[in-house]
Amino acid sequence: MNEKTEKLIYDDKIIKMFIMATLLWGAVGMLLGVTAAFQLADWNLNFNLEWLTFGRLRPIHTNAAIFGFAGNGIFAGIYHSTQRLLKTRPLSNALSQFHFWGWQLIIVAAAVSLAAGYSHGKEYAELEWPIDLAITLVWVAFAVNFFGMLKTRREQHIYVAIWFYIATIVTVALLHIVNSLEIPVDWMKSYPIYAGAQDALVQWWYGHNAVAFFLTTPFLGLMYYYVPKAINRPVYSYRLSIIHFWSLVFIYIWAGPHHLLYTSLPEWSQTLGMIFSVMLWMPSWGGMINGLLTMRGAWGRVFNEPVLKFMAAALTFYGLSTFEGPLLSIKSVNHIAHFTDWIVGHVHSGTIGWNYFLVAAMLLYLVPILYQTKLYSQRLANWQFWLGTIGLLLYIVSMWTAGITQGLMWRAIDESGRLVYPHFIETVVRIVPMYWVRGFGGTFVFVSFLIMIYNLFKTIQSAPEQKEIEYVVPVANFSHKEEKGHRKLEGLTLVFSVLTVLAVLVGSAIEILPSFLANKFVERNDAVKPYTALEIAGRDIYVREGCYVCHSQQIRPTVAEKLRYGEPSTAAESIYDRPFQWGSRRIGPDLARQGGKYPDMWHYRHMLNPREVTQKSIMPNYPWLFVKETEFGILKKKLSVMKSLGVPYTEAEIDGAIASAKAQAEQITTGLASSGVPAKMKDKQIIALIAYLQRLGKDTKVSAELTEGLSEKGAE
Amino acid sequence: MNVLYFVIPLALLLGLFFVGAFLYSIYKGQYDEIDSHAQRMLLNDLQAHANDKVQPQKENV
Repeated sequence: MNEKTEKLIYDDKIIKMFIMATLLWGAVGMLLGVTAAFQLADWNLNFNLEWLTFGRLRPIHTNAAIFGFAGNGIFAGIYHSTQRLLKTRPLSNALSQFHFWGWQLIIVAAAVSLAAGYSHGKEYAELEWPIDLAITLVWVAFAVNFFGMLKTRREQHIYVAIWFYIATIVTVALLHIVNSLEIPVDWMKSYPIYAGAQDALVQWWYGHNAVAFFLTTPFLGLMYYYVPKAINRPVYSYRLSIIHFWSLVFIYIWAGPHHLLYTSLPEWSQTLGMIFSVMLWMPSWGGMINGLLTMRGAWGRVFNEPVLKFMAAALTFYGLSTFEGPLLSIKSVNHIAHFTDWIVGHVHSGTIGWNYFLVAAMLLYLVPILYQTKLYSQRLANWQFWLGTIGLLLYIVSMWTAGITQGLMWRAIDESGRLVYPHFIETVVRIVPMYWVRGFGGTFVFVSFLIMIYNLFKTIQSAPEQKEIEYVVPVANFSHKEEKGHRKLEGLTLVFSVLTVLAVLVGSAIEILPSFLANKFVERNDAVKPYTALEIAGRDIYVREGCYVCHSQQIRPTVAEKLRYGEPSTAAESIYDRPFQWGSRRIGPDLARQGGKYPDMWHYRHMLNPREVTQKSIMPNYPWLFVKETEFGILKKKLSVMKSLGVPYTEAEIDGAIASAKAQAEQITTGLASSGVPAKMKDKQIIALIAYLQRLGKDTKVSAELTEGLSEKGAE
Repeated sequence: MNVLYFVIPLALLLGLFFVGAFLYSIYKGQYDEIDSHAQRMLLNDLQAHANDKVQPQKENV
């Protein structure tokens, strides 16, 4: 122990605030998740309301769960454990407050704007540019506050948990900024500077590392603090924890392309992503084993203490999902699993099993300590544990079943070389029972969360009058080791240098990237032309309604997909797609070659009521598309932003954008007139959407037919 | 696939940052002795006023 001591009052208020926010957003996120789950079981639950349809609700669910629930949980744990580990307070109370209220405001803005249809159309990065900017600002405030603690620390050694937090803060900043580079059209609409395959690559580089550095590394940090604390035993191997940390951060960043196997991404980058994903298995299990072995000799207590139950379960599910992840990254497994519910189950075994259970363990341990009291009810906590676990198992098993069933049905080919299930809807109807099971499983999990809220609320109620406690901490006595004065440059300087690098990067990227990306595209296909103004309007509606949540636009190079959808997608086909809309899940069929497959009237009736054209379809109705008018006025601006990003529109095309869009809308509406569609429909959004849907894959289809025709003639 | 020329250096830059942090931690003596840290984090800070009878560690038993 040090000789000199001083008194310190930790900032517990900010921790309590983040705990409240964790509980609030956890409940909201899970309620939305359960709602979305039942919407897939019964389409009527979309209620024909635009802000409540699955395509808009699902992004709100993921944002509330990831950034609202997990985010606030991380912040609560980081502010608590870092203060204790470094024996210091956050740099500034004002920054803490700004961090808290800024983050809550972002979540509210996210929920409202996504419900209203302001979406960027990229998974887990759906928020439009003003919110993206706010996220950056709040994250920087958090970083400054956190690195301030490192600077003023009274403990020389940086415990392994802190390293995990550092990696989180630095990497999330980088990922968020790079993936959010976009050019605004108006105050709530922007286009990414990347297009098509490039956008896909950046998005999943972000998407996968968001899982890595938002849902994994911070939670591992929490695990390395709260598991030893709750058991009151040191971590099994501190040496292993150090190896775990450094190997994890070096390997994780390369695994992103496993989300894009069998797409038009270059083969070598897919293989690279696959290899690094398999390698990830080792450090991940190193962490799991380290956590579980910390519990060795304390297993008897696991039966009696819900906190330890949750920790053991969280680590087990972490082990399960980090085994499943590398498995799913292997191409042959991915071939069956990709675009199915297996992935959805995999994600939830991580987010519920690992993230929720670890946060539950942390809160059940932390809240009584913070409020200087005892947990209200161990019994309720046990109920919470069993309900949550059974619910999660129902969820995972139903999604395994649904995923493998559908994956096998999609690729089933009979002896004559034809698809066994040529109608996509057959494969959907088969798994709807599993959607009910998943819905009930999710409800169990949601109820378990409500039990925790009640339990913690009662715990807080029973707390004595809150007094600030002064602690005796050693005076920092390690500065004499660094006589060169480097100490002063640590901490804040680190964060500022990182941010300066990021700022320079962003500045130069915005300047250089658009032309660099657009002009030197490796594989060009001259048949692929930019979208017309009306098609752009339709495409933005497609993005707004979250169609990509259920429909992919990427045909994989396999026999079954070729039979079902047509020629495999090429990278050249999506060079004008901002954002790319390749999708990650096929709840409905792929749409990459949808253009011309059905007449306009089919789409018209389909959007009004999908069951009119496809019996037993689970797609929602979209009645508002038939009422709301297309925004023609902004098309000129949209096209000129596209041009600035390198899309070869001529000045004449931009100037005449509005007129040409209106003309195309009129043409489509005239075609529909014989089926009884009134001419006044030409200004409605449905017409723009039809224009876009009918364009999908059309360019290459025409060119393929042309070349085929030519070669046939040549043979004659 | 030009974006690879942007993303890969970026990932390497991040990797370089971690290498730097790793070397820094080694040269700052973070790992000179690694047996005590796992034990020391378990110690709770002493309260300045012993008569504040708050003992939060036991609620799990």
